[in-house]
Amino acid sequence: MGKGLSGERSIAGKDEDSLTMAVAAAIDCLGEVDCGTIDGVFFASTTYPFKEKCSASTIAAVLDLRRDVFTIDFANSLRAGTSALKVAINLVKAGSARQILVTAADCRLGAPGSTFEQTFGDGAAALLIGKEDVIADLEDDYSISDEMYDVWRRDIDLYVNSWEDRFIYSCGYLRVVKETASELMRKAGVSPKHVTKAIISAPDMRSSLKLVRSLGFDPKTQLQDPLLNNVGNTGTAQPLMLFVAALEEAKPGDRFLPASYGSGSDAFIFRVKEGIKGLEGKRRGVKAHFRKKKMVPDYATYLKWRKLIRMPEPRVPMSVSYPTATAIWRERNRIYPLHGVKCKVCGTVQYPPQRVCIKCHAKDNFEEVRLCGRKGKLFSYSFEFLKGNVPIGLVNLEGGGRIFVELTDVDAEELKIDMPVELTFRRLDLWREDGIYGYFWKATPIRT
Amino acid sequence: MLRMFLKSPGVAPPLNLFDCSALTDGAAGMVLVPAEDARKYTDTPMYIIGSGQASVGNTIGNLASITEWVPLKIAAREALGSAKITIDNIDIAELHDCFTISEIMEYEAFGLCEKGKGGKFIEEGQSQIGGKIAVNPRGGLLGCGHPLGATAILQALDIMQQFRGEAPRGRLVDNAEIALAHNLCN
Repeated sequence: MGKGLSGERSIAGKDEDSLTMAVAAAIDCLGEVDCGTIDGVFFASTTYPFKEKCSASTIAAVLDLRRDVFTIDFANSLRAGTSALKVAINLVKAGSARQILVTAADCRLGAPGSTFEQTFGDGAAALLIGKEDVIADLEDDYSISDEMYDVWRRDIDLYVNSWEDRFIYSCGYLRVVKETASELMRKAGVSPKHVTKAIISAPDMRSSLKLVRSLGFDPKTQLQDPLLNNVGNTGTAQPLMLFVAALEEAKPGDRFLPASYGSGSDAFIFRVKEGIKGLEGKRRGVKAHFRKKKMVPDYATYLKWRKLIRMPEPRVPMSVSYPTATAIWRERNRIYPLHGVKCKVCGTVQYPPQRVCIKCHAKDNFEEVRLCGRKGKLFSYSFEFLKGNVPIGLVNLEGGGRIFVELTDVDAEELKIDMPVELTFRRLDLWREDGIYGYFWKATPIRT
Repeated sequence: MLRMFLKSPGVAPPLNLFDCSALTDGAAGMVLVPAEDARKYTDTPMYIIGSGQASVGNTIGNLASITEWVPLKIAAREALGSAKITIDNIDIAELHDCFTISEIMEYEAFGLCEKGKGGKFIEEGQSQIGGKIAVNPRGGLLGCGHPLGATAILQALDIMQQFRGEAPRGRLVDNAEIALAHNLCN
């Protein structure tokens, strides 16, 4: 790699992608919220695992939402996250939906050695839009659309392209976001001094400072830290993630101005409400994730994880079969929302679903139980040698049940019997892919 | 020998390569006929005097117990019950030693020893020819390889050779009359 910039950036794990990160953000966002009144799931990204196949529908399935939930993928612009937010707010305002879950995630690739590779970060954010117990209220919003080649990726490109820096900032980011945010403040009758925090997408710190100054904000007190030094530019997730970071520090009455950039700009003015107090310490949000970070050992590991270098493929055991769409469909309830069964006679929770109770041998007398996202304790573990010593374990779940899963984001030396773990939705490393990405739950240590 | 075993490459800790039976190719066959017709085909038939089968759970995550073979205990009870004998009447046991630990757990499930005493059972030589019961005189799955579907038939064929006194010297169990064969699969 060429000359390195200072600071850190976030990297999706080996088994993470935009979809799994969005699921993790959604689970944190929803907490104990009753999901029965969620009428929509929006997912924004420029790096979906699929170009054709709705990832929002997968998120809805994982979260075990109602069948008549409305799902949309918002794509192709770093503005897609805030665009999803805008549409969600308008649908709720119009009465077409009670609650809408908005998620955004990105895992963008800069070419090896490029500045983008160093300044991009992988990440996700989720917001639940509704009318009751709100933590922030929309006062006004404004968007403009702008046609320009500044940062783009063609359908055949792996890495993000850009034109020359001075051009893209002076004619793009700085001009377009300034135009949008100033017009919003004029329209809303809000002057910069009435804004507690400007929460603005930022490609780099210098441009960010230049932009907020040009809007009349004091960068020292009014700029929400764009997290470029420890996370990086997380693309569509960035404006929402910064909004979440701002909400973590917010008090009722604060006025926020989030704005995004990408083929135009969306800008909003939010007022923080009393509801924020009820959430204190109840979500991991951004801060807790800094605490649980793990360093990637070296650059080669990153390249391997992103499959940017080809590794020798493991020898596939004869007995391994291809994943099939039919089997995944048939078992979709036990895969995505991780449905197990609970014996109606003795109450034993079992996964995968059984016909005969392992404990009392009662037959066909079960109710389905949702095990997704549960916490538990590591009962036993071993390693899968053929796949490169991948840790695998048996987890005793809170509320009953024992599940056999892969263990992730953990070093072999850290593993201990009875250590607290939680289930996390991840992409599988399949022996044979056959055009399919497999997803399932794994367990990871709870880091606090 | 023991050093070679302990030094064999890891497969899934704590099991090393030599703890795991090698999946092999293989074929075996036998002719089953009604007991009263058996002597039409051979002068030295072997009779099935009892059998049992049970299934509980289907992955390691939902085994009824992780330290004992619950389905085997049920199947063993059924088999011994239908034969109207006890485990003490049995001379040879062909046990499914797909891994070292499986055989030890099987002693316990069959009631050859108490739970937790399976290791001691071997140390005392009770599973050897001349011990309490001759276990796997053909070498078992670990010694002979494990051609999956053919394994159970191979076990039965070896028992037949034992009954006929055709098993090679050194691993022949004298005057064996009753044997059991156990197979395990998920």
